[in-house]
Amino acid sequence: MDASLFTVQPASPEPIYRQIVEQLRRLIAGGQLGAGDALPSVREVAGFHAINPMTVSRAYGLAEAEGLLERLRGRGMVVAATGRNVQTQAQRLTLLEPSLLMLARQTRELELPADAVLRRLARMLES
Amino acid sequence: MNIKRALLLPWQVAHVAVRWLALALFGAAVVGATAFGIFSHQPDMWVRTAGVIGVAEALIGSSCLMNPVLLAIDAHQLRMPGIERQAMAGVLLNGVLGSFAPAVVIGWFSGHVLVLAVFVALFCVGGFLWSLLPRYAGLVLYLAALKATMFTSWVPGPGKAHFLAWALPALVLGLVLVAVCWRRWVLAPNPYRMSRRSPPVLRLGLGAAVAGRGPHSQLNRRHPWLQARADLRGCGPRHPVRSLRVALGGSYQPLTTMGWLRQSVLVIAAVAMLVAWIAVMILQGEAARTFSGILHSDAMTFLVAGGVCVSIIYASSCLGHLRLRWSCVNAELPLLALLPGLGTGVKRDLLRASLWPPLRILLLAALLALALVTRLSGRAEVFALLAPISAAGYLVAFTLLIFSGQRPGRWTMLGLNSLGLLLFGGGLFALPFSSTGGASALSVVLLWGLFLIAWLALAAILLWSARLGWRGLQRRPHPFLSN
Amino acid sequence: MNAMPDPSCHTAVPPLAVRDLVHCYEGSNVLTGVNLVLQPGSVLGLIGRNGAGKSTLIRAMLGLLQPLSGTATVFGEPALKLGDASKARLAYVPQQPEALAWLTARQMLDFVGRFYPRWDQGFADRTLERWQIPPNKLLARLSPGERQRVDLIRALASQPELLVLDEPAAALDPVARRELLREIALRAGESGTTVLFSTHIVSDLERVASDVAFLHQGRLLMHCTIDETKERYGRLWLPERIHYAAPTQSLSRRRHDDGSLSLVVERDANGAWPEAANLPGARVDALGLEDLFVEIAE
Repeated sequence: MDASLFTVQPASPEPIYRQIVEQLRRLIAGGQLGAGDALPSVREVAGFHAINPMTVSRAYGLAEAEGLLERLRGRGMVVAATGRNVQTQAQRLTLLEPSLLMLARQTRELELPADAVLRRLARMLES
Repeated sequence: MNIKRALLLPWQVAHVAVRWLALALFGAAVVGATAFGIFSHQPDMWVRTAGVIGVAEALIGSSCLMNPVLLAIDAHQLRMPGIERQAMAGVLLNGVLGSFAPAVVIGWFSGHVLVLAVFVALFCVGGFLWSLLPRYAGLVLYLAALKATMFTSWVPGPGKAHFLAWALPALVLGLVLVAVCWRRWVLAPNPYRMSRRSPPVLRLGLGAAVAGRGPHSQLNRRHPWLQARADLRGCGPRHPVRSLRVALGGSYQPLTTMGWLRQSVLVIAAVAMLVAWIAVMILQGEAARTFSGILHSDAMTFLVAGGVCVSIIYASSCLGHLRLRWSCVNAELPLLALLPGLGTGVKRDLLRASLWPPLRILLLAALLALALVTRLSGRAEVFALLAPISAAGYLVAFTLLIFSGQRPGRWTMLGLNSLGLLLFGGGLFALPFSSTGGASALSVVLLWGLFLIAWLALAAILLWSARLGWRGLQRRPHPFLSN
Repeated sequence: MNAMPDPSCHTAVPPLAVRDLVHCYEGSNVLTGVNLVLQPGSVLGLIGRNGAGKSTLIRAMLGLLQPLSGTATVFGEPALKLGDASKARLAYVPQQPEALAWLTARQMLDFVGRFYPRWDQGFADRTLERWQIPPNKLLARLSPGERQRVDLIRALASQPELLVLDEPAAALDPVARRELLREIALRAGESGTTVLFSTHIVSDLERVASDVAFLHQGRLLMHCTIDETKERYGRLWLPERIHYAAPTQSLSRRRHDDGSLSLVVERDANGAWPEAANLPGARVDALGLEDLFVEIAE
């Protein structure tokens, strides 16, 4: 895998390290990155996107702490073997968190009652 | 058209200091020369008087009076109506007034108003032409004037008969040339883009400011082949003085022989032309048959005056270069301030690098002048000696002031300027008078006493400024702080 | 906290520090009491409007001007009296550099290189070629962008521990700018070079900077890590009917024509927005740096 794996939008309100972690989560959850796949080095990512290497290592460190990545001697960062299959429900739910937050905010802005929205959501999930 | 407005226009365009300086110079020339003309009791003294006024008129004509051409250029470029005509009228009116008014005054005592007016007007048109024609034409004008003063039998002077026979057509021809040049620069599609043929009015003073030329326009304009190449051999932390000279640039930088030749090829060509010209005149042997004849002719006066101007211009161009370098915050100053290896004696090294190269040249000029003085045993040529020496004094004092960030007070500057003007102008005026020995003994003593006092005062002010600069430099943590 | 480089390259003295810096030009105050300490290995982006005093601050920090009051130190030494050792560890590129216009690019690099003990001539030659700069043309004849690149090569080839750049990207095209940012980023990451650069192009800063400092009207409005800035500040919008609930503490406050209110607010220690954000109709938007800058500086 090379550094073009990620896209970086520096002007976004979301910090770059979060953008990278988020993309890692999606890539692993979506199967584009399989267990044992090597990730581009910090230097490669930083050089390719012209971003601060500290940002990249911070993102990798966070992903490592989450159990998405692991550090192998001699190979650098690879996707953790325990990756996708054993993701707990709670972990998967956190991926949905941003969309839910957005939904909650818009519900408040439209001044809709919560139960009406939940009913509608439940119907959508069932169909 | 409003005549008063037109008359004032060239002066409104000029920088305020230049305006007063020019008026002071002109006033001093008219009053001083007329007074000498009256008191000297020599029959043809009024010719010299008119000549001195003419030189002042030429200086003003070439500086202030030509500024309206810039106005006309801008008015044309911005398609603003009416201003161009007003600018032209302003120049003409001032030229006519400047030629006739002194002619009437001198003519009051000696007659010949028309002859005198035409004589002064010739100088004035010469000044116009100098600033409107390309630079090399200026040298031709200077040589023509030199020749005219040498071959008085060939070209009858204003005291002789038939003067008007050549002077009037020459005046008309000059005016036609002025008009042609004026039209050319006003209608030029891109007049401010400098080329070899750009006239001094666009290159110097206000013209340079209007053209918005950066500090390195000279480097930009010159053909690469004529560009001086710095000699970097021996630079480095072990030779801080030489390295600093490279960093100062301009006439300070060490050059290879080839680089020096390349840079000065134009100056060398001009000097060679001058020497050849004089040689031809000696060979033709019209006015002056011998070498000493040449030395004692009026032409020599011209040469000495030229030398005085050159040494002063050289010193002020060096100072201008330094001042510019010390006002740029993004040029050499930060580089030098943060350059490792210059060591702790950097102030002393900087002074050595900045003072020695120009002083060497001025010293050479002083030696040349000294040779001239001993050869001539003339009094006026002492000015030729004093010019490089006082230029050196200015150079030292102001270099120190620039490095120290000190600015001399307003009165000091006023004193320096007026004394400089007095000595410079006085030198120019005294030269033609004293070389004839026509002035009375009393006036000569008075004159020399006055100049001696002025010179001592100048030296005192320069010393005081140098001391101010020296102390300021000692107080600065490092000399590379911008002003 | 934010990731710091390897602690072994930490030295006790910060590469750059200023305290209570005050300076003015002809009566108008440019800096009114600036305190700033640059941590070793950090990349600090200094941001501010034109005329905010960025260049003056940088020049005062490096001892290129004598401030009215306050102290500036470089590697612990007073900035106005730097020794050769400190100078050799530092490189500065001014805005629109004009130095030594009478030399060619190669001559200039040759001349300056003789003074730096760690000068990398190979890098200078390679980069001149890679950036397609005619080496034998006088600097005066190069375009502003080319001159800026030559000066950047000069600064980078001396392998400084502290790199100070004043508006480095101003005269560069997007490709050259990206290349410069890459160079800065990698140097900071690998050699632990501390970098200070001023800019008003916010996206440059967001890429490579680890810290950001806002300079506004001669004062430092904030100085924190770039990620923290993005996460900690937001814009709170309140419609007219609840504008009374606006928190008193805010970085900026703007009333719109319709009576609604925009404020730049900060999360508290627990990461929560001020209470007014939870009122019905209120809205909190995350802010990019550029928006944050505009909100504050307007």
